[in-house]
Amino acid sequence: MLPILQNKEHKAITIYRKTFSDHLCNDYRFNLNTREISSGTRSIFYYQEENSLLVSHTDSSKVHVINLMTGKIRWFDHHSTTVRSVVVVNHKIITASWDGTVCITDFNSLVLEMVLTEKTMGRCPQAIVSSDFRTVYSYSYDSDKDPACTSNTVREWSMSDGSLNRIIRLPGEHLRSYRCGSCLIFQGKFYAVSNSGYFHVIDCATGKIVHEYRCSEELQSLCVIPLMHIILVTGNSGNIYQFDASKLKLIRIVKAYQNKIMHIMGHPENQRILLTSGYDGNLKILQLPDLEILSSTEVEQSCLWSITTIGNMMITGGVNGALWVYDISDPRNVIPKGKIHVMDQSYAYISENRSSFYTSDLNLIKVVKADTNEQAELQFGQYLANSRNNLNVIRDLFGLKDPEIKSSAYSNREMFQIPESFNKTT
Amino acid sequence: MIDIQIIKNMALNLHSICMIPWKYALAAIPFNKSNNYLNTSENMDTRNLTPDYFPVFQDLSDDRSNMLQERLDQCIQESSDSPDTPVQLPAIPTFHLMFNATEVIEESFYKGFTVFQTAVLLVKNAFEGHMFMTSHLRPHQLFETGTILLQNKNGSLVSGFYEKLDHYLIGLNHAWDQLKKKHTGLDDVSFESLVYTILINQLIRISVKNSESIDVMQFKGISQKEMESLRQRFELMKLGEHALGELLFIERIDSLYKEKFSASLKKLHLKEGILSHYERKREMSYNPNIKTEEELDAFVYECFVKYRVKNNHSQGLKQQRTEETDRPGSASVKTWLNNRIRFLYRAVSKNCCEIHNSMVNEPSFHELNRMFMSANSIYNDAVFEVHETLIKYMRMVHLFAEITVYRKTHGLDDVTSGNWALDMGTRLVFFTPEILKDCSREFDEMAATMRAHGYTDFKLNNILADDMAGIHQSCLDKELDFIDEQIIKIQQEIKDIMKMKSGEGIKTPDPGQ
Repeated sequence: MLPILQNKEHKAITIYRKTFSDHLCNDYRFNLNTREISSGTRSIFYYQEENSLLVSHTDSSKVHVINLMTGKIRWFDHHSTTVRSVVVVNHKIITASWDGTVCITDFNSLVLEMVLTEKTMGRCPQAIVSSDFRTVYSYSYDSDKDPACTSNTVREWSMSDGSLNRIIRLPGEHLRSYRCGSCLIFQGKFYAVSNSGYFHVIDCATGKIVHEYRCSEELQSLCVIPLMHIILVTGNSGNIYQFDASKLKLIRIVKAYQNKIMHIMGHPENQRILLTSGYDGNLKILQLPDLEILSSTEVEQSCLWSITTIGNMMITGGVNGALWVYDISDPRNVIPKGKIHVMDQSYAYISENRSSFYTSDLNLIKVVKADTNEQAELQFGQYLANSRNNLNVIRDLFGLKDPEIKSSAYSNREMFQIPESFNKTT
Repeated sequence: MIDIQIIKNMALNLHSICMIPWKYALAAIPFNKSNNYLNTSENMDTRNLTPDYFPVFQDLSDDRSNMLQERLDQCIQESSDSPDTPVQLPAIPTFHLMFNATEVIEESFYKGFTVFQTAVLLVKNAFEGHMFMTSHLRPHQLFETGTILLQNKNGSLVSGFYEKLDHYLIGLNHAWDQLKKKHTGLDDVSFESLVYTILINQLIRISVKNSESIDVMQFKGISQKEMESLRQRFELMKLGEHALGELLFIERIDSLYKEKFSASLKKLHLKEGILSHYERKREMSYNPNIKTEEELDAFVYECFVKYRVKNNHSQGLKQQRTEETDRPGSASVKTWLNNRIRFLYRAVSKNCCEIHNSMVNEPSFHELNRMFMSANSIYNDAVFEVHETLIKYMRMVHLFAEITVYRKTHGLDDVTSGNWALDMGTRLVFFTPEILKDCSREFDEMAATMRAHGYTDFKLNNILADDMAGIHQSCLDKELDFIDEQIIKIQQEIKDIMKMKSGEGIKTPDPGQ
């Protein structure tokens, strides 16, 4: 079997090659080798500039960086425990961890450049960077270390030398022992929610609170929709609070979940679409401004910690570890595309129908017979796995375009009887 | 059989102090066919691996007796005759396959090599030591097969040496101190700049004969700025070498794969071409103006001719690029690389003088001709970005190494290269770290794309493993049958369409038959 070369000039040939390849693999499916178990997923971030997916885990302190363009997986392990949030800004990876530190890591070399912490800093669920890349804001549960601390703390750090510029103790009191909260920066204002039920707006220049709103429930997450000037806050009872960002006025409250909403974000390419993941393992897509629920998908039975988008694909992951990929081009009809399993030093993507995959390590893949689920003959199974493992599977999935390759870089081109692009030009 | 760790430790010690002769360490190492780095199930034919490395022992034995070669041949012969029995390398009294720094300096002095040539030999010697320690490759193996290997994840062996250069600089500096004792006036010569220049110019691949006219005094009083510029260029070369290794590796796999399954692939491509033709013909058969099969054939032919004419006219315009988003400083890097390419092209051309001078196409110069054609093809390729220019340069450098080694090994006279092919580090070229980062990213993406589109890993598996090759062969046969079926099906469809147009209707098979 010739590999399915994607020859844009000879679509017919590509189609026939694919047909033959599918015909050969028709009776087989590709499974994850169950000897390998991935640790739970805590945070997912897509860094578009480098086509890289960053994943942190619940049961490991590692952060994996998967380049979807090259297929390479790298990782770093700068924290002593789980990394709660990962963001990349200007080729710097900012990670916040339960170990009470924020680390700044160079994206290219993965070398640790800075550790931001102080004695009294408790678990840190989030760190964000100002739009001018000069300041890092850390959000932490300082009551872990100082029981007298009645609410969560925000610290302002200088990105250039790591110096601590300011500490902002958020007013209010913890409603119970459970801790949660989140923050963001929008148009010179710092917005924070916490388990005290408060939604605070702080002026970045002065560090003073300019507005506050109190809810009756613990507040978990928030996001901003810049185009509509809307800020959305989620609560632990499943409510979504919609605020007008300019007037700082509550517009509406919608009950979207029965339990906690773990993550909320706007669709980067369609600002009328809101994506949420819940503690109950459900994924919901809502339409703005009315917060009408367009679709609800049960992903898994356990907490979904994080979501991110790549074009029209949405990736979510949680306690079970797998990263679920969904096509959300039609928000009312969310289509499952497959799963990415991130292991200690490797990863694999397997499509929903288990007929195609890509892995950085073929040992992760088991070939089974479609009808009986028995393992395929060893050699033939290996051959099939080897022939089907191609990076283009994930590149096509996420719509990543191939870089242009000059002839000086590659001299072995396929020769065809009919000249290239004949079909196209005629 | 061999405790590689012991050898590695020994070799490490050797390199750190550069005083213990390699031969003592080597004497303890059994030479066995099973240690062959090309240890495939069928002992893959190595004819495809182009020699691009001229080892130290060849430089030192050059134009002396053939004793070393005879002993080497004998050794290889013995090891291949008895694959399971370890064969001791014969003791070679005058020449060793591997040397320590003192021996290199002594031999160079004895042969009358210049200081620069000796420095090149010392760096080459460090490279050979590195190869022995990391891949258990001996110099004669590098000489036979070149520096691009299939077993390496990234094909280039030189790239690995560049990465570890800092480890070897300590030992090389010791050797330089020894050399300074033998020659006067070297005190102000910057050895580090000498090493970088040797590596930037890839002199470690070729014979030291090519650098005989270079005066080491050029490296006297190198300023901090010049040193910084050299370091930057070395970093760029490191990237280029890595990328070159990847590209040559992919190409090599591709050509080995084509060679191994050539019969089936030829048939397959032929049939795919026919399939493509009928596919297009079927599309055209729906044209309402075409009523008969003769008209259809004529129309297909007409389209084909039109395509050829159009394609010939547009070919020259293909590589124009309208927009360029250059990083600051990239223009100077490209200018420097383009100048280097031009010089190297001249060097390659001079080293192919036989084909310029010969009146008829002599078969003996077939390989030289191929190399010169490759040089033309590389030289004429229009490139715009830094990473593309770097690849073009690396290809030309590699080709230059191949040609000079070819000349050496095929009894062709040396062509004096002088300084024209070398970048002596006196010119200041600076660029920002972002350019390096961009290049690195572009190379990674390019290599990944080529691997994905060329199914390199899949092919490698089918080349190296016999059982996989058998399965692959049977799958290729099945695919041929599959395409035949498809062609017949399309032919029938075209006939049916034409019959329908001519009003005859489609004959449905009689269920009773």
